[in-house]
Amino acid sequence: MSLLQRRLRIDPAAVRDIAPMLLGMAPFGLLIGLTLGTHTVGAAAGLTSAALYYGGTAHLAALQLITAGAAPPAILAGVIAINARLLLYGAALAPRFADQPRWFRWLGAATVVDQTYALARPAGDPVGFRRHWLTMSATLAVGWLAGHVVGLVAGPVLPAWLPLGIAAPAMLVGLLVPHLKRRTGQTAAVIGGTVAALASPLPPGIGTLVGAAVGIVAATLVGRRR
Amino acid sequence: MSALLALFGGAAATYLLRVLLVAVVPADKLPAWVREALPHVGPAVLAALIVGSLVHQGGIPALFTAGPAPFALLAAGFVAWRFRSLAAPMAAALLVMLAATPF
Repeated sequence: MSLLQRRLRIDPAAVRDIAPMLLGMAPFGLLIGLTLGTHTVGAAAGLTSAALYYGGTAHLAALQLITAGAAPPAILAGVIAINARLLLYGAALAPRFADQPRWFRWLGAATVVDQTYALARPAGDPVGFRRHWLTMSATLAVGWLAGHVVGLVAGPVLPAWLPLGIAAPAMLVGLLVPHLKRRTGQTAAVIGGTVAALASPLPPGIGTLVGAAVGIVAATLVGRRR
Repeated sequence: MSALLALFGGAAATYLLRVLLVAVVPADKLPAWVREALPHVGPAVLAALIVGSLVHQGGIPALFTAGPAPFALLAAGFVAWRFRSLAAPMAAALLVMLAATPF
């Protein structure tokens, strides 16, 4: 371990874990940066809010709703609907945060997102979990915001035919596949995905939430039968 | 001004959603049925997000008019299953999309 790693308490394994995620998030970050370049909120507020949202879907939806002239309560409702899954992630991660100091529970929770949830270490080594989580979160934040800045600066010269939008769902597919080894994981995914498609005409974010909730219930029932 | 308030209000709401069950409500206070359901959160949410990105608000029929994206994600799934890598599925999906893009 180098002196810098010891001083900063960096976990090199966390950087290795999260690095492939950055590849998938970069195009999405570019896309949001591109949006910020012409948005009425301005680059400074846009980048600050990007750091605070620490996730692209709800942030982009909020920016689009502002552009469409939506009322603030509608914007807030849209963000909450899209990000309600974070409540589920928080519930799933709670046992791993339970033996952490108070400051970490309040600070570390700010970076709960699809990628950190999927790559979080199991419980059992509180110090190792904390170091891994903080390194992973900081690396993700730097890469994520760098994508926004590149999109903001270089967006106008990027060719329009680049299929940037596929990278984020492809990254989610990479996170999903390991769950499909178990029968309950297959049930959760198939039922969750099907119901999300059926419920997709509902307001933004609600279809995802309904699909996820039904998938979780179905997998729980299948798990009880076994 | 109200746009900025809504934007940053959304960020505050997002933080509350993240922190509520991690720092506010203790994990051991969660009911048993919630703890039983937690392992299924990942696959259910991920699948719902993936499908949502394909159909947007178009329902099941949108899957059949989504262009090459479903095939790109199937390729990503195959590569993820075969090579157990997180970067390779994205490369596979991008290649399928590029191959299907008329220049």
